[in-house]
Amino acid sequence: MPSDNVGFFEERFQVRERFQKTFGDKTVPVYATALFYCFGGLTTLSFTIQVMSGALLLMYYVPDADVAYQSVHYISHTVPYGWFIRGAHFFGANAMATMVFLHTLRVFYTGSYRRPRELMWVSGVLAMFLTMAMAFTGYLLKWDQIAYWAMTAVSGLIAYLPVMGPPTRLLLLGGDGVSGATLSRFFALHVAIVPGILIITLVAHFWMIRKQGISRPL
Amino acid sequence: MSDVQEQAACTLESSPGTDAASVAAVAQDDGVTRRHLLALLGAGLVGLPWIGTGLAALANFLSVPSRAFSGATTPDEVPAGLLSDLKDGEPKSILFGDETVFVIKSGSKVSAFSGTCPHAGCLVAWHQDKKLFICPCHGGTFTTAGKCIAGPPPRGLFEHSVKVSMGRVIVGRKKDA
Repeated sequence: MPSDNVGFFEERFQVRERFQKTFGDKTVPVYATALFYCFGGLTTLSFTIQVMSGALLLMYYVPDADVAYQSVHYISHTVPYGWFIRGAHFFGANAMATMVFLHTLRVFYTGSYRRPRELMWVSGVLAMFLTMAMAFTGYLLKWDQIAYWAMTAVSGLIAYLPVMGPPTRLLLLGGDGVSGATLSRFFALHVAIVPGILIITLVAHFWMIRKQGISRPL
Repeated sequence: MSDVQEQAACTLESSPGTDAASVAAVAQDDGVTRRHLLALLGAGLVGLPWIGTGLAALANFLSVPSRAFSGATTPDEVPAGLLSDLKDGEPKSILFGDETVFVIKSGSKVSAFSGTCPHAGCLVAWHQDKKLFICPCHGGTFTTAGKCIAGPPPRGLFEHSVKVSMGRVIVGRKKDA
């Protein structure tokens, strides 16, 4: 075997060095091994759980006002391990919201947003708001009374915003009140639009941390 | 080869920035070491049952029809009793598959309406005193003609086809909107 035999992909695409640089071993500074530096990673872990369990829930969930609740009930009580997948999605959502909050606090109290990492903070805050949007839109999808009235209350709050309030509410609900149209909208937001933007934001966030490293605490 | 040397070889292979040529050289010198083989077998011994269990659970999860909870058993027709048993303006509820349907006679006309509120899918309730269907969830109110007169529903109750054959009422499938 000749020593310049570098493998099928390397021969064609020459990506090994870049791959090593991006995904290979990286030295972690000692100060970043403290316990409260783990929340960003745990957010990523719970996001991964959300993507995987969410993809599986999609196989049975039906975003239709008539049968949405029934399909959720079906997942929880009839589909084998459906209770587990739905439980993973539920607790994963809570974990992600908690972890993203703790991660933000850690970054704030260690002053990690300072120059040159300003854009990491910006992308992180954007990702945090997108996480909240995921929680907000996902909550309606189970289509029970709690979800319905929660959405009625929150959309009422949105309508109180000056000038932009009522049109925003109309755009979000797809009508004057929470209805089947709202369910369709929130489904689209929850499974396609928001996660799409969130993944792009996270990729930017991770690329920056790879490029700039973890900040030294104050 | 001593342990120290082997460890050095491992570090060399996994450390970033090592050029491909020297990695290849190391691999060529040693081939698969006993340590590597045992580690691989150990990982397989622990990992494969986990992966297998996960895949089996996944296969199980995906093994049921995705919409078995509705539609699959909806019949074409359901008998709703004798026409002479229906009281004028007083609906009788029947089950059409897993859906509640109200059959109403008003004068000589017999009609059937789905009890599922077109707003959020709750089951509407008949109020004898008001002669109205009222949805307990959000107050959608419907007349005996299925027309929505109050509340959030965007339309009236869905109507089913009805035919009367030799004094018997037979409810058919939902009419197209």
